[in-house]
Amino acid sequence: MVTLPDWCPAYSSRKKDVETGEEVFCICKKPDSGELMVGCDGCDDWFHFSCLKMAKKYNELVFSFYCPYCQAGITGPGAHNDGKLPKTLWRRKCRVLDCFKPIAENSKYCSEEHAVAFMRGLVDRVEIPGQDSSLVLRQMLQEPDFDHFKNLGRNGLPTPSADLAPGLLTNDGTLQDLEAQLRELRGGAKNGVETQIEQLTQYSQWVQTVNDLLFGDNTQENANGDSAPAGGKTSRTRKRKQTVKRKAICGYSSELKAPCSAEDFVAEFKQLDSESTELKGVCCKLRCVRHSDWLGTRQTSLQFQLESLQSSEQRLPLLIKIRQDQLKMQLYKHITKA
Amino acid sequence: MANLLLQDPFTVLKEYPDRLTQTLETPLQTCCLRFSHGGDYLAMGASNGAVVIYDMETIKPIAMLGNRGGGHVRSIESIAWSQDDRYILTGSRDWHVKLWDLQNPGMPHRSVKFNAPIWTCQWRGEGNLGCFGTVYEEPHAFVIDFVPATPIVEKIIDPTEVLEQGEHDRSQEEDSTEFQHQDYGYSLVACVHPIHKELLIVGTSKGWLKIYRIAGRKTNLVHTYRFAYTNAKHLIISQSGDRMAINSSDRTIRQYFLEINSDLTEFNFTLEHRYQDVINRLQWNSICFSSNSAEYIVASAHGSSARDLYLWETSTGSLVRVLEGAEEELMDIDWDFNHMYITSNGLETCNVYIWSLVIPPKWSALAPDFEEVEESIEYREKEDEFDQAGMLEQQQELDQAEEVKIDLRTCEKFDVRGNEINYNRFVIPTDYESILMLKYWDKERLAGH
Repeated sequence: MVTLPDWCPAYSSRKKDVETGEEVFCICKKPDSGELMVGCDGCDDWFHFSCLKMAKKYNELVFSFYCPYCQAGITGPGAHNDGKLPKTLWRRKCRVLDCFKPIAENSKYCSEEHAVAFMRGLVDRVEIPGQDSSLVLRQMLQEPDFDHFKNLGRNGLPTPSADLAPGLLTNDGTLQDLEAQLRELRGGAKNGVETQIEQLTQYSQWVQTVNDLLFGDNTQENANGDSAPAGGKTSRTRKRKQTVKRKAICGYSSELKAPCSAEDFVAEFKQLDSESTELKGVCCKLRCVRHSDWLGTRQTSLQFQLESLQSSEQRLPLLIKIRQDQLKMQLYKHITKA
Repeated sequence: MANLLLQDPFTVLKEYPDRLTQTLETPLQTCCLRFSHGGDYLAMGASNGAVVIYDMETIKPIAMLGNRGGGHVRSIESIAWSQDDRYILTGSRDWHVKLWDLQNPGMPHRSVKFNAPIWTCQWRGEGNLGCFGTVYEEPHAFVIDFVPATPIVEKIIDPTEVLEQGEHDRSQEEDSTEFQHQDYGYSLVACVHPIHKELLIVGTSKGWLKIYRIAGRKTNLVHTYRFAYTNAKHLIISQSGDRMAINSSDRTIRQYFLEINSDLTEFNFTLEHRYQDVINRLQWNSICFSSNSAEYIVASAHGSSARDLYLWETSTGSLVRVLEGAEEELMDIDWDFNHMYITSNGLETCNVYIWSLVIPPKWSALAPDFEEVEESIEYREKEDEFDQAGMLEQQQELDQAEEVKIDLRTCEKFDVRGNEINYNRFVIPTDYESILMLKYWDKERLAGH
């Protein structure tokens, strides 16, 4: 619901002055004094520009005018129950700042003179110390055909030529920093983490083999119906849950490398006295609380590392682009008078 | 922060919070929380290893430790702010102690791995990046020097204890009587004495307190004391250094008066009070002292029936306040003395609750002749109230008042509550890069629709 603006008096249908009988118009209900007025397309009454707080210079820009009463739905099309309230429509104004003429067809200007004047104004704002600015501008529009001109700036800011701002993008510390980070990342940081994951998987398989050799029969009894474990980590953890009291050695070693073949390890383990908790750096406790979840923790940690490297790989090129645009923008602002 | 001097002194100077004023609902499962020393920030550690820092002025998160990688991956057990609030230590169940520089919180500054989950980590003292840690099933605490890029980790062990340890292993079988060495159990908690910073007090799984004196590279076990036959769960010392409390697995909080002679050779523990839940015999989840000489101690109780924080007066040992409002069991506690906030995290929803003071606005504080009235009253001018006669005198009085020089530039050393405020506080820098990225993603999202 559009309400009347607070400077507008309530609607009155009076069309004649009570005393003189003269025809009256507008929200002020005064006769025509020759002052600029505009006709409402909704109620066919006439309104003073000044009464409606519209600047007279917008005269030529009115496309279809609706008075406040029509816009509020008191009179005009909005009053007949079709619901839609009309609004005043304006023509687009000429791009030259103090010209209030409407634009010509297929143009942003009222006339060709103003188009030239506007562009000249833009060119005049460019001020490059020690250089001919129009030459530089010409250089920036390297392919001076119309389509190229129209698309200028649509794919990000154009890169200024080298002699206009030598080292603009190459001498910036922040940018260099970001680029170095990206190079380092692409140089194989990810491979390192992936190798570590690979190593960990291998070691966990070795521990699994050792446990299978040591307590193999035990497992088969308990875990009948369980599909053959493929040696992967998922099947291992699942199996753990199903056979709660499955016997297994902890298997944690700080090296995370198999010290010898699984068979040799098992043979040596069987000769060990029951008190020992470590063999060749591998923790042999049966239910080891201290190292519980060493595999899971390590896996999550490596997975996290990999993920954060991947997100950096996406983030860095973006930051580089943002910084480049920022630098270009700074330069363009610098060579342009306000 | 409002100027506390202008507020009602009877409210401002209350020594503990009144009621629950804020509940932070975070998407994280908070399990550990710690205020910065200045009280400007609250660090919360979550069960998935995330650590988020909230700005207490806006109650909004402003930094996430490790959002560029290198964060913890298992639940956080311990958080400690450095004295200048610039560095944070975190100890986690993923076997790592990490040091974070808040100048660049995206990546850990230093990280060190142990061979078992971490119980606690704590700063050694002012200035240097030294830290103490206790680790699961380790008989000794560790000292970590974070200054070199690869931190140096050493066991805190008295030279005489090395022998003991070897003996102890054998004594299980041979029962060697040659040395009547004491088995102190595993070191669980550690606490630096706030005044004598070379003293480290360690609480063990067999109810012993071991006091080490660490001077340079020399470590001496200077005193041992058995407080009970049970695990030590928490060990706290008041800011003044003479009051100590131990929360242990026997459902008791023991409060001691601690006397240390000036050359740090004689130690005397006087048991002042024991706090127990006599009806339900509940365990205590966490404990915390109030500021300075610790006039109060606050504790959270274990079990689904306990939903409050209990606050006792330490001099009499009597319960003075129950902080209500949370509708679940409460876990960790921390107390910010600057803003008079007590915070605790819930077990089920993992919300973070904050109790504080509610100071009603008092306009008369702005000018002494302001008077507060309940209803409008008609003002009756007194006979000589606006007479010209006294004007000259009044003007002179005013002039005289203006003569007094008011120092606007020197910072106060202490706030009205007696907390030191005149020191350089670290301000966490705004992460403009993340804001840029967020803006970019927003734009992408809009373009996508």
